[in-house]
Amino acid sequence: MELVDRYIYAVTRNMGADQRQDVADELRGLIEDALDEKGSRSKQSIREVLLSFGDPEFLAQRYKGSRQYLIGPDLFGIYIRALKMTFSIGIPVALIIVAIDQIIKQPESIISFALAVCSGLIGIIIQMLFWVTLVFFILDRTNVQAKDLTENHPWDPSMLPEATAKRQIPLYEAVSDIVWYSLLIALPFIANTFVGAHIDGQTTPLFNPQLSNVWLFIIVALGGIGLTKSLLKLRLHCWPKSLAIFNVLFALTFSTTLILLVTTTQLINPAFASVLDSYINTANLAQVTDGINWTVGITTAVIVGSYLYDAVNSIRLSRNSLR
Amino acid sequence: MDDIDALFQNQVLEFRRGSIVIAIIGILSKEKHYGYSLLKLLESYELPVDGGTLYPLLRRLEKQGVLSSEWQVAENRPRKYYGLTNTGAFLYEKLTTEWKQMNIKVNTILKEDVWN
Repeated sequence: MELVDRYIYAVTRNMGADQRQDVADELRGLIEDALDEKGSRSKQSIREVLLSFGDPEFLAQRYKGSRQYLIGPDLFGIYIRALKMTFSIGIPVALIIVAIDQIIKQPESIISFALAVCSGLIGIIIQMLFWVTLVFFILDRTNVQAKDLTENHPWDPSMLPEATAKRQIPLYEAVSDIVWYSLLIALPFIANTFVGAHIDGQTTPLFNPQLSNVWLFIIVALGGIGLTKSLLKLRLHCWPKSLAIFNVLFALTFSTTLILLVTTTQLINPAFASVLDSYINTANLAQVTDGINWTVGITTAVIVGSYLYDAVNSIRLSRNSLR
Repeated sequence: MDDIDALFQNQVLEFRRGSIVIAIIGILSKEKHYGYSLLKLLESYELPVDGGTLYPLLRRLEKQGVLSSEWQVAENRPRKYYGLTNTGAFLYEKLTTEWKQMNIKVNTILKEDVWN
């Protein structure tokens, strides 16, 4: 009978004092009844009876009436929606913060930088998942219902999106925008250590380290505005008129700034040209400088061109936009 | 075929889950029972339920005021007998009406099938 005692103890040990004895007594009676029917108290019979009652921990949970799930079906839909919202806003923001944090810490190489950013990002994603789940777990256990949460915004057929509405802004466009502006914001911080020629443990920056702080500030500011714009694109995935107009103004500002930057300052580090020259052994500094200037010119033209195309395109699409 | 079988088993489980409470209070409306005798009785009606499911369910129904219980000594053993409270009897009446109506509604649909 020792097994029976242990079984009853295992079921009742975490129960409140008010019901522990009662459940234990009843359970003992029920087990005895089952044993009576078997007509034997052999070890084998006891084993079989206890097996038919099942895992004591599960039985205890049923007695407690505790819910056998983390988040019930009623709240699950809202839980998923909350997760999507948290991730869609949180991940881009987290990416930027982690990246800037790592840049300030001056990582040793681009690989260690990428690894640190990835692990930081994964940590933040797990945190977001954990906290949102915890909140919904508590809501579920305190019997909050989905309709309590959506009371202020009950669903109405008028909220339905137009069936013809295609995503005007595909996801990859918004995401690549975010990456581009994040890099732009990061650029002034990493230009002197990362972006350049790494030869014999010596780094020669591509961009002129003498560039004034005002320019650096303007680049970061433009990056910040651009990042805001791309987050809006990610969120709205269409071109409302206001966003399109903003996009045009931004494209003009950005292009003008870029052209001024290239034409009025010495953007490219003069030392870079000579390093490149000695590295590829042309022994013709003027030719290398020329090549660099051409590259800068063409790159600028391509960037300005794509900005202007994007501006025109956004205005065109905003005519069909729903918002 | 396995998929269909699993689907069928699943649906049968849903049926059973939906009917277990009305079956229990139906039995207890006629006579008081202790856990094990109720288990055996349900078995004899070919509605077998796990002890691990039935016994906690009885307690839950007691907590909800549907059942009441008392300890009685029978066959030299103290046993907890469950019976219906007034609330339970009222619930049973309402559930029975609903169950029958549901049956009629579903049967109306099923009657249209040729193999019936």
